[in-house]
Amino acid sequence: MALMNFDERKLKVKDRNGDVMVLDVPADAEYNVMEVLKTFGYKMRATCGGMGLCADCHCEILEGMARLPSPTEQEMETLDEIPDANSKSRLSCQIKPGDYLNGVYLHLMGSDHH
Amino acid sequence: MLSMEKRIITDICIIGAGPVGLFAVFEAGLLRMRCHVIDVLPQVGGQLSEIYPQKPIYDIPGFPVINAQSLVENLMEQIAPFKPTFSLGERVEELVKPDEHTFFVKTSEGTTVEAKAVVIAAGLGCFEPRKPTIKNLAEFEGKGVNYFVKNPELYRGKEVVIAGGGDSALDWTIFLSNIAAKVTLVHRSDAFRGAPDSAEKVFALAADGKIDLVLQATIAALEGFTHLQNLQIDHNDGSISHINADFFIPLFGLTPRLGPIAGWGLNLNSAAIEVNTEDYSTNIPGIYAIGDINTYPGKLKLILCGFHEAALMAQTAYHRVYPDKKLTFKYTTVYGVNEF
Repeated sequence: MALMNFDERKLKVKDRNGDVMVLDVPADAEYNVMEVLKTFGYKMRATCGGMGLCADCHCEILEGMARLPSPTEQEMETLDEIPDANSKSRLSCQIKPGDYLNGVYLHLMGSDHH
Repeated sequence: MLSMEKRIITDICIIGAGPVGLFAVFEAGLLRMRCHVIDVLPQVGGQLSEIYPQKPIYDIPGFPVINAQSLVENLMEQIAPFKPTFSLGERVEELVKPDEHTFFVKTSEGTTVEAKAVVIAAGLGCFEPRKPTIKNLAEFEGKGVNYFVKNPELYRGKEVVIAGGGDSALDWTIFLSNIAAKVTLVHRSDAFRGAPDSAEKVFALAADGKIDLVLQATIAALEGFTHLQNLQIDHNDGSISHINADFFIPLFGLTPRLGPIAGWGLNLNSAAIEVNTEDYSTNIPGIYAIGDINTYPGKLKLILCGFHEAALMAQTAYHRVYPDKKLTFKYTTVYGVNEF
């Protein structure tokens, strides 16, 4: 039997309309934050499927940026190429779920998602 | 630029030169149907070539692993016997169905393709430039703001500002430095990570005074009366500057959008085209949709599913191309591939 994990991973998300929700990210979520957001019903086109190449999952980290693992070269390269990135930008597909998500406040960027 | 009117007559017009569009040429070819393929990108391969050419794909049957660009090259080899023709770098703008058995597909470059069936294999739509958020950007489109460099001569002797940090921003900065009176490259950060060789050249041109490099800055506003004249640059340190510009070329890569297909009267569901899984036909007889662009219960956006959809589509499309002939199902192991 799997050990119960009581650690909280409460991820705060502001969607593209400005609505804010706090998500309980399961301890056994095995994918990246982009996939986690999809499981919660957020519209995420994800053209590249999660390779950090298309920037469809671009988000701003409004709180908790310092706690997240650093972006890879690939992620920084993609962020460098898109017009609306800023110093708070990350690609949610390149962030793996972890305890560090607790208290992170993320704002979904971009438009035209279906 | 003036575009030449061009007319192409074929059996099937395929919209989208991604892996599924290319494989549709093969399935159609086995049934003696000729294809013309249109894609907005200047090269074949769709997302595979545009977004992830060097990434490995692990779920193509028979290939434990294959690099995306290699798959595209293999498909081009596989369809070569059926002599497909291509209109690349052309965006499909209009579809006309003058009678029950004919379609005219018109492109942005003045090409008209006459076909008996249309296969939409457009993936997530056609790739369009990502546009920066500048409030009056649209106002200056075609009046100094261009998202592609189609004719470099347009910039001869002009003051050009390029924005972006990727390959195309660097490459066009280098290229136009020999043509324009002045080229300024504006980039949000202080490094160019994607293309170290091009970045080195750009830094060298800046050191020699051949271009102006403005780092840690973004274009915030455009100014001008009937044509672009000035740009406002917001620097990351909070300062603001202004620069003369005849042309502003934002180069922030491409992203797919459904585009004109949305207005063709096809049944759509969340920007995907609804199809009948018997033959991947749409609600308009003679128009099929295969690959990532379609939707049906259980749909998976996988290349291998698109290949299957192409095979089934061809069986029905045959009856539109050859209404008087009977079709019997044949294996390539028995009859081989009979080139045109």
